[in-house]
Amino acid sequence: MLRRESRSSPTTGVLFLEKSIYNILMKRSKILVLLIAVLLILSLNFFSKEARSFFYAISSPVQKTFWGAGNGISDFFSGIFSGESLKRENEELKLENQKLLAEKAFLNKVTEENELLRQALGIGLAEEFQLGFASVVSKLADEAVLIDKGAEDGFSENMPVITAENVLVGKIDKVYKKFSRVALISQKENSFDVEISGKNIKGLIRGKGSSEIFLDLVSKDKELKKGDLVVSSSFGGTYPEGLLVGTVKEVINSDVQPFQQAEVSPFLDLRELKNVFIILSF
Amino acid sequence: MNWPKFFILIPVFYLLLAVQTTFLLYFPLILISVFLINLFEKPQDFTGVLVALIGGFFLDIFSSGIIGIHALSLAALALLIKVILRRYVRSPVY
Repeated sequence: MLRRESRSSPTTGVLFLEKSIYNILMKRSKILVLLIAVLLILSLNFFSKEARSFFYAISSPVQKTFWGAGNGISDFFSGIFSGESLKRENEELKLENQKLLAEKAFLNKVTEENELLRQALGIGLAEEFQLGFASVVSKLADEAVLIDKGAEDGFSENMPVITAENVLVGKIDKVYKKFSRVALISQKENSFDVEISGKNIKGLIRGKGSSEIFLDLVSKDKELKKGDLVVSSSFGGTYPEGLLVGTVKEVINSDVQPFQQAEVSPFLDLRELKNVFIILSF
Repeated sequence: MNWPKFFILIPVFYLLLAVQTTFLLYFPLILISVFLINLFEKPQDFTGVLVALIGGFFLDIFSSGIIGIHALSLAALALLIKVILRRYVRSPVY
């Protein structure tokens, strides 16, 4: 009896109603907050260039510091997770080193000869390309890096980016006022013409993501071998010729495929990437 | 909705993003953080969803696609975790 009375009392009824309204309002306010946040984020697409440029500007000092410090830690973690492959790689490198020492002696002689010829022709190395210099700020989510120079420094889209060792990094795909986005050669949509150094073999490098690339469209009558040096070709007009891309890791010769393919281990090591050169004209 | 927690988590997520894009190049730190926050938060609490949205937004800024893709995906993931926890998981903690 008592319970029935308390349930039907007007005070409890009002309290229950208030609680229900409060719950509905709270639920609605959550949805409203979420909707407003989503709309605000989506509206940034109308001026995405400015928004991204603004965020890069405020976050670049922190990220630049982190990027510099991060190389050592990344190496430490990669060392832990790839111990076995490192051991194998080390043995292969020792063998390769011996071979390279022999080649070095030969190349020294050729370099001297080359220097003499360059002097004779009046061509300096710096004149080969017109270069711009930039530092890497951070890695972006989709196989790209952010560099600390942009439109203000004369950079524009599709300019090739290389390292001091002449290793091809990628090309600028977006230019902001003070920053630029460099699409790495390993980006999935990326493809460009290459050739095998010292052999008359042409092909196409395609990005696979996760810093991996593969060689495609190599004619079946050409002899592709493990360890072959892959360099860029000027055929497609994207990059100048002779930039280092990688070495052939494994040749895939399937009867089903009309062309030969190969896994390529790129020279580009993102963990070691600090400073880059932008080829302003070639 | 725990607003103090939300405002503390914004700079935390910014730092996580800085770490992800510099120290740990191939480790989805933001995604894992969003997952863990929503997993251990009370299913009734909405903070994890908003934090997922902000974390996703940070990822959007540091990628080339449409701004909002990562934000919406992470918010959807957070909501999914909440729904699963609310409907199918009984915990003495909540």
